[in-house]
Order: sequence, then C-alpha cells, then structure tokens
Amino acid sequence: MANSVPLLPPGHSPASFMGVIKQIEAIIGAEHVFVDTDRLAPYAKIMIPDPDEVHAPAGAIAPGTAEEVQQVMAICNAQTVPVWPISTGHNFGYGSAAPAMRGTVVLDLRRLDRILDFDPVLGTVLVEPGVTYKKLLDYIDEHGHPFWIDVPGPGPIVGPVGQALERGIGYTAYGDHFGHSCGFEVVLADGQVMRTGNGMIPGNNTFNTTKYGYGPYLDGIFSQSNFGVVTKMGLWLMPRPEVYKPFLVVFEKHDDLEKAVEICQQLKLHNVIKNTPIVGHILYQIAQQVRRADVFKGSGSVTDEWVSQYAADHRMGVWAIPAALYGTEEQVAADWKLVKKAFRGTGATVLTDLLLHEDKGWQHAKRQMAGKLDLDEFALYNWRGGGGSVWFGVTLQARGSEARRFVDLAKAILSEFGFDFLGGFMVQAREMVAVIDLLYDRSIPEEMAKAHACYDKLISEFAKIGIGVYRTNTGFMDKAAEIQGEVRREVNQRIKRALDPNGIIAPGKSGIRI
Amino acid sequence: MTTRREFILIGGAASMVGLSGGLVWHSGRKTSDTLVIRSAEVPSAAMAAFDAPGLETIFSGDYAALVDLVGQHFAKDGRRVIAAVDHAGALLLARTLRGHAGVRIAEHRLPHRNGQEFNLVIAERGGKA
Repeated sequence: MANSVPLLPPGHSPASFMGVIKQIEAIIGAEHVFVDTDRLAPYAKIMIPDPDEVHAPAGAIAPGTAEEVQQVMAICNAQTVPVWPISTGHNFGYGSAAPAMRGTVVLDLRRLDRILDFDPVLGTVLVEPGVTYKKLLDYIDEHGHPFWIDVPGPGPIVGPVGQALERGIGYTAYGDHFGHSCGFEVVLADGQVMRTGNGMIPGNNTFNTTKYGYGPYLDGIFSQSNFGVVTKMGLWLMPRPEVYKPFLVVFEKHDDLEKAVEICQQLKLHNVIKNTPIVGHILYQIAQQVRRADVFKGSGSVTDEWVSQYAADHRMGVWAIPAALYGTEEQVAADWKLVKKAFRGTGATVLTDLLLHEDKGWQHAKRQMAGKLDLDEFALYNWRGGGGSVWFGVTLQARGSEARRFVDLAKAILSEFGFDFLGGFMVQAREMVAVIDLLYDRSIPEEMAKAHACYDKLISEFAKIGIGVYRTNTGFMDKAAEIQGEVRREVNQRIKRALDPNGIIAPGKSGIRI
Repeated sequence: MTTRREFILIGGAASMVGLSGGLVWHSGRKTSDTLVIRSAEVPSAAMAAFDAPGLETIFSGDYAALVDLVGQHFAKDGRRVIAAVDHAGALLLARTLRGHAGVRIAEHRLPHRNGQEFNLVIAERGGKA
C-alpha cells in the first residue's frame, strides 16, 4: 500500500481514489495493488516517442481470477475509474504496458495464467491472458502433444491472448493470430460475463471449435478495442507436420523487390508456401548483428549504396525471404519443386538449411517458422541504442508495385529525419503487411522529438495515398482513427457508449472514447 | 537496494579496462546470493572485485537465456543480479523483471572508451532502487 498518490484518474480526489483502491485491495489483496511511484515504474516504461508522463498510470491492479476481474470492473464502473487491460504488458514499440490516457489504472491480467483446457484431437486450447507462449510450449512438450504454437518476435515473454487481440502476425502456417483464435470470454464494463460463439448456451461444447455461432459475429469487436476485458480465449494449434522444410530466398539488388513480392504472392495464392514469406530488407538483419556507430560513418540515414556494399562484402542479398514448407514427405517434395521453379531464372538464390546452418540469423528464422522460442530479434535494439522503438505497419495489396510505392515513400520520410529503413513485407495471397521499426535513442530528447515528428509524417503522408495503419501505438491512436473517417469513428463510439457507457475500459484505445 | 554509489568508480582502474569508471563491488556486502552477468565484451577486470566468482556468467547474446537465468535466480531466492550487458539485454531485463516478485531494477549507462556503450542493470529483491 502506498504512502503517497502520485497521479489521479480524471475527476478523482485523493480521497475518492484511495477509497476505490481500498475496495479493490479488499478483493484482490493489497499486495496486488500498486499506486506508489516505484511500483508503478514498470507500467510506465515505454519505448515510443512520447514523454513517459503522457502515459503515466495512476495505479496498477492485478486480479488473480476472472471472478476478481468482474468484481474489480463493477467497482471501477460504479466509481468511474478508467482501467487499461494488459496481458503480459510487453507490447514493445506499441506502448508497452502504459495506457493511452494519463491517469488510467493498469488492469494487469498476468496472474490469470492458467491453461484451462487442451483437446489433443481437435487441437484447441483454452488460455487466460497471462499465459505466455513459453508456458504454452512447455505444457505441450511436457504432455507430448503433437502440436506446434505460433509465436511473435518476443515469444517467450508474451502470450497468445494479447497477440490475438492486437492482431499480431507470426511465422508458421498459423501466423494469423486473431484468425486462429476461437471463442472469447469477455468481462463487460458492468462486470457481466459474455462468451462469444455458442459459448453462452448451457452445455454447449463448441466454444473453442465454432467461430461464428448464431447472429452477429462478435469476436472482432473485442480486438484492438475497448469494449470489454477478455479473460479467456480459445486458440487453434497447428498439427506438428511430418516434414518441415525451411528455406531462404535471397535477391541481390534493391530493384528486385517487385519481383520478390510478386513471386511470393503467387506461391501463397496457390497455397504452395503455407506460412508467411517475409520479404525482408537486409538492414533489419544487419541491425541485429552490429551496432550502427561501428559500421556506418556517414551522417543521416543509412543509404542504399551503403547497404548494397555491406551486403556484397558480407555475402548477403538486399532482400532475404525466409519461408517454409510443411506437410507429408510427398507434399513437401511436390511443393519444393514448385518453389524452385518459381524462383528459377529470376536472379534469386534459394538456400536450404544445409547451407545455412551456421548462420545465427537463419537459426532464428528457422526456430520462428517452427514455433520455437528465442529473443534474438531484441539485438535490433543495439543498432542505435537508447531504447527507442516505434513500429509503423500498414496493409497493402500484395503487388510488387505497392511494395515499391511503400519503400520509396517510407525511405523519403525516414531520410528527412535521419532514420533508417528497417522493415519488410509479410506477403499473403491478396494482401501484405508492411512494417518498419523506427529505432531511435530515447535518451536524447531531440532525437525523440524527431522520431515523433517522423512517425506523425509517416501516418499523414501514407494516408494521403489511401494507406492506413493496421495497428499503432498508444501515442498515435487518435490520429490513426481520424484517417478512418468520421462515420467509422461514430460507429465505434456508438458501440462504446452502448457497452461501456461510463467509458472506463481503455479510454483512447484505437481512438475510441465515449 | 544497491545504488550506483555503492559501486565505487575508480578512474585509474577504469581507464585500464577502457571503461569510464571501473566497477568495484562494495567490499562489505555479502554476495553469495548475487548473480553477476557480464557481456563477453565487457572486460572481466571491470568486475573483478566481485567476491563470488562462481556465480559469474558470461552473456553471449542469447537474450532468452538471459531472461531465464535471471528469472531462475530470483525464483531460487537469489537476492541480487548485477549485469553489464548490451542495450537490448538491459532493455529486456528492465521490462521482464521490474516490479515482479518484489524485484526492483536500476539501470545505468556504461560508456566504453572504444565508443561502445554497455548498460549496467542492478536488480534486487526488496528495498528501493
């Protein structure tokens, strides 16, 4: 229990807020309620280019069960205390654990960490928000279940509920994390509990097998939103394949981008490549291996010429595409022939594990595409140092020309501010997600201001050509929502007012408020 | 909680190993429950005064192992971790351990004369960072 209150939720006096805190302590235990500055520090530590105080929470509460979440929500709703739900709180480069609105109380669900059901025949698992991928993988391995998981970059320390709700992307054939969720248990603002799909029918057993149930499909409105607090989620798991064949395609020139995207798109459209081929710019790999100051002596952004030279000196291409085949021996053999045929005569080099086994970057990609865990990608934060990172991600039609348009505009904006293009394209059959990690030194105020201005310009300039972000950080949610237009904003607001009339769940999430 | 003040910065020793300040463990403090982690690039002399050499671990760039190792140390009632690691390692430690199970973390930058920079992370159960 704190002896001082550093910050208050809007409209609260110290006495009224501490009254609420005491009620919550009586339910979940004082040891799970934090309001003193030291204890709140972890929740306020961000990587995005905003000052910490902009997103400073008034407190953090960590209930241990869904029932406790219900009781806490009922109190917060009655007393109008806004809460910011987090699962593991490691949404790095998107705002981490900190709320969009200063003075919000973080609702930390990490103690809800049970694996509640596992069906080894249907390949479904029911998890709480605090379950990490490491815990899930350990469980699967311990029980010898023939399934894989699909993980994002920070796999061991984050979990499937947060990933699915934020619509994150992974590296196996089950890389669409929201797409492979099935059934949400949601605590509403007034403390009521609802299950999606057919989950409200007594005795029904399709909660985690049937997505749509009867009537409107509601799962989607609980993703990237603030309409409820998800306390359980069903997840579909990928059967362990008989054969896993990862490979790497390398293109040597910047101008090969269009070709690389178009071939990947066709291989996806025809279901040859089962996972998501990532057409990655080599600087993203270089940045994981060396520090910028050690290798680049110029001023401003790293240039294409420098990248070409570095890539040539180190026998790398400019575009590298890790991808994989999964299936029976016969299926993989047939698909492998099609992959080789698709890249033949294009100037690309297709490399297999046999040739790459010594390469650290390849080992990481190989693990990721098999749902294994590491944190190797964190080496990226050594590139500039200073702990600043903000992800810019948009969806595009899966065309080479679109990729070119994205790269040219993004590089022009980044170079205006002296930042580097570290990114790539996750290519699907019809769409692709383009992402950039804008790295900067957060300890230098001028650099943070530049990173903020750069990100702002990225959103604005891409909006001018009809391109919107698919996910963004807590500092830019309002701006990203504005781009969607007034009608869309108003519909979101109407739903918000209906489900959360006091506006206590995650105010400002995705730009939605009452 | 151990503060940076308890790491005596000795200019002479520091320059010998290339750091802006040599790190010497406060000699009066019990260290049997302290885990020391050092990036291979950080000269061992920089942390030579630790009197629990058996607990020193070299960090070779495996971030998942780093997080596991530190988590296990605290799970086994370890009291303190002192890590001289790169930016990414420090960033991870600060975000995975801070505030949990009563562990508090202090971070300090550690410039090296060759232009590189490491981070010193001090994590300790209880007390105040």
